[in-house]
This record gives sequence, C-alpha cells and structure tokens, in this order.
Amino acid sequence: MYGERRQRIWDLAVIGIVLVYILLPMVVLVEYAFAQKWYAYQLFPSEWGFKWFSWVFKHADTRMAFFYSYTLAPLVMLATLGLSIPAGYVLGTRRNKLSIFTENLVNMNMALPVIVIGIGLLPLYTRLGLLGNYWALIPAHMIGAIPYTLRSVTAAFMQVPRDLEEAARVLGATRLQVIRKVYIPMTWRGILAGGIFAFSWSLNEFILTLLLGAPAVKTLPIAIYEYVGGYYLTPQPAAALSLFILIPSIVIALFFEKYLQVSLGLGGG
Amino acid sequence: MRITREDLISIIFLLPLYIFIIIMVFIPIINVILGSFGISIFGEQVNATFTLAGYKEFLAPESPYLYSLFFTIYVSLIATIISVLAGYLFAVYLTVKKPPIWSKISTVMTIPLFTPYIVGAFMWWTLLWPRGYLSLLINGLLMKLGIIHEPIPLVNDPYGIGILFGEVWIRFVIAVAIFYGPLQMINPELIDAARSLGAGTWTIIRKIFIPLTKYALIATSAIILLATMAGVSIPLILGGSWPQFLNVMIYLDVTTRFNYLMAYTSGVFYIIASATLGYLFFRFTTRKVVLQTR
Repeated sequence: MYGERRQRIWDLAVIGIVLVYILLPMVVLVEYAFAQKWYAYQLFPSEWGFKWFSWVFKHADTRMAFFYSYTLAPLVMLATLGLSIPAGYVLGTRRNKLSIFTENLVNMNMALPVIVIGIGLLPLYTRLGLLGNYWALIPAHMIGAIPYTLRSVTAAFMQVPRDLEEAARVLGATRLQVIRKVYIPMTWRGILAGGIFAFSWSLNEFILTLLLGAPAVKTLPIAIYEYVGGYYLTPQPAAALSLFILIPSIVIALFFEKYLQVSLGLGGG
Repeated sequence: MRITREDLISIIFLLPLYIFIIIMVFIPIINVILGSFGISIFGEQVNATFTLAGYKEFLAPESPYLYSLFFTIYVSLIATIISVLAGYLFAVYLTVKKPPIWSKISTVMTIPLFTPYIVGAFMWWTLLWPRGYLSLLINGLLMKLGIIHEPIPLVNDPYGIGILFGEVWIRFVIAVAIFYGPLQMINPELIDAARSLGAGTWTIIRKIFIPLTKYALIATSAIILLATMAGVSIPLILGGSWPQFLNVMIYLDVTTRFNYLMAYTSGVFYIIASATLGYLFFRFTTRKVVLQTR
C-alpha cells in the first residue's frame, strides 16, 4: 500500500515537472499577448485586455500576413497532395527497385538543410523574376512538406491488400471504379493526414519565405520575426500574432490524435 | 528490355515528383556546389571563374566561418546530448513505471512538435530576456549563492545558452516520441527476470534497455543533431551577435553582405554534414531499429 502511494507521488512529480517544462513557455506567451500595461518593475501585467490583438489587425502589413499565410497553406496542401497521391500509389502498391530508389531519394531531401536549398534557389528565382512572387512560394513550401506527406500517403496505399484491386478488376470494375470503391475508402485517412501535414508545414515555413518571398510577400512567421528579430523589440504584438499560428497548430495536433489515430506513439502506458 | 504497361504507369505517376525534385532540390544543390568554386549557373552572384578562394577563406586559421562551424557543432552536440539523455530516461520511466495519468495527458507532449520553430524560439525569448521569469529566477539564484555578481545574459548570449534552451525544448519531445516505440517492443519478461535475479533499475537500463535500443539511440542522436545544426529560426532569434550558427552566417551572407561565394562554401559544409548524419539515420532506421527489438 505504502509503496503504491509513494509510486503515485513519484509519478506526479516526474510528469508534473515535464508538463511545467512543456507548458511554461506557452503560458508566458499568452501572458504577453493579453498584457495591456506591464511596467518594467512589475512581475505581472497590471492591466489585461485585447489591445494587442486589435493593434495587430489595424496594421495592413499584418492583415496581409494573415491573408498570405492562410491562402498559401491550402494551396500548398492541394499541390503537395496532387504530387504525392499518384507517386504514393506507385510506391505503396509496387515495391520494386524504382520505388525503393524513389523513397531513398525523397528521404535524402529530408536530410538537406532548407537554407542550403534556399540559397541555391535564390539565383534561379532571381533569374526567372520570381522573387517576391506569391505563387512561386507554393513550390518552395512544398519542398519540406513532400517527404512527410508522401510517407503518409504511401503508408495508406500499402495497407490496401493487392488482392482487393485484382478481385474488383476480375469482377469487371473499371479503373475509375476501383479507385472510387477500393482505394478512396481505404486510404482517405492517410491522405487527409498527409494533406493536413502539408498545410501545417506551409503555415510554419519560415526561412524559404524569408529568402524568396520577403519583403513583398510576408507570411505570419515573417511578421513575428520582424517584431522580435529586427532592430526594435516589441514582444506584445509578436505574442498576439504568435497565438494565431500556435493555436491552429495545436488544434491540428489534437485532430491528428483524436480522429486520424496518427498519434506519435506517445499514447497510454 | 521491354517496358510493360505497369512500368509505364509507374513512370507516368512518378514523373511529376521527379521533375519537382530536379528543379527544386537538385539544381539548387548543384548551384551551391559549383558556386562554392566560383562557377555560376544563373548569374553574377559569384565571379564565374573557377576559384578555391572560398575554401581558403573558410579554412583560414582566423576564419569566422570555421569558428561558426565549431560553434554550431558544439552547441548542437550539447543540445543533442541533453535531449537524447533526458528523452531516453523519460521514455524508460514511462515504459517501466507505466504511470496511469500518462494516457490522459500524453497529448500535451506533442505540442512542441507542432509549434512553429519561430514561435517556440520567441516563447523562450520571453522567458530568457533580462525581464523574463527564467532569467530573473536563475540570475537571482546564482547571485544569492554568490556565484555571479551581476546578471548574465541567458539569451542572445555569446555562449549559446538561449539556443540550448530553445532547441532542447523541441528535441526532448522528439526524442521521447522516437524512443517510446522501440522501448515498448522489449519483452517485459526480460525485465521481470532481471528483477527477480536482483538487478536494480540502473543495471536493467544498462544491460537490457540500452543494448536492445542501441540502434534507435544512434539514429535518434543523428537526426536530432542534424535538425539542430540545420534549423535557422532558433539560432536567429535566440543566438547572439557573435559567435553565430553557420546557417545564420549563410543567411547574413546572402541578405546583407551579398557574399555568395562564402554562403555557397558554407553551404557545402552543411551538405557534407547532413549527408553523413542522414546516412547514419537512414542506415539504422530502415532495418535495424525494427529488427533488433523483435
């Protein structure tokens, strides 16, 4: 009995410390976002409110950042899926040398630092007159998203038993019917997960947008960077702005866990 | 060799992906490698004649680039060691003790994985800047103990302390997430057997867990080191004005100093580092992590 109780206290202590460690930065971020008055000698803000949120929306620059971030993300998602679904179908259903080679090639991309690809792309974009071009940021955002999306889509296609397609074909189903009746019902979860991943990647993409898009196209991460990384420090609006990409990101994480069962292997003991 | 209908479908379906990789990854990488030798494909960013000047400057004894490279490796290594060690121990704790409340709150652990790096870096900045809670706490404590006499900077500092805080927050969670799976695959009877033979927890970790998850440890360390070295947002926000991470140097070289030759040369060192670490990761994850625990 005594040992069990002691164990429970230990569990609470260890997990409590880890939780505080994970959550503390977030709590402080929220504090900054809602702090209206906060003098240097005070430990906590003396006045709370939504001032910084309205401040953020008053500026045309940040309003545009919202527009750019939240329109680029769905476009990147669609384009990434457009590329990953046919490729994932091949990689998931035909495990030959070409598939394995392709997978290794894509994995290799994952290991390359984005900044190196970025400085290599810079002259190409300059040459083509694509610097600061909104549409040209779509392929740039896809570079980091494709490996993960493709992996998720490939895994979904792998789970479809080969016999099912063959049985449907033998029974007279057309290729289109096979896709509609066999593949879509069995793979939509993986495809959706891959798509959402691309969406969230695009929302968070920073360095390529900074190199290839800014200052003409500024997304939310760039706007945040300008508030904290620039020459003037204004943590409050940056905190308010951060919540607009942090909260969707967390909602996406919860969605992954709950509905797609694509947990990160952390669930339950 | 005849190309069958099946092959043709495979090729057509994979073609867009290949075209994308060639344009968006291969050409830029070739551009960086050739550019480091002064050869330009797209324009006048570099001299357009073959030169080794970039490498000479990079490897010169007093070179800021070489210093940046060492600083990058040094800070990234410390971040990796802390994250892997803490992550591994926490994953082992979860595996051995199986705390019941864990299943209810495990989702919280995934938050840093989904937090944009730039936001994560900024969150730590708010804690570590001179008015930040953590800065007040740590400096207050150290001054009370008489270790320091005036507050030390914990962010934008020359030692990389700020970068360490930011990196470890994200990488620790990644380490837990990766280690948890392979640890669950270890036969629990092994642990029971060791316990009944009188082994303590440390002996069990040393003699059972570590040997059985050796490859997962190597692969995870490689991927975390690589990610830490490559990530730009955290050193850009939390790093000091000097020394800087090599990727921040690259960024400044192309945006403010317009020194493409040095940016490309530093880029080549990054390509070499990532190829080595990437090889380690994929070599041990594709087969062995799965095989060794079965």
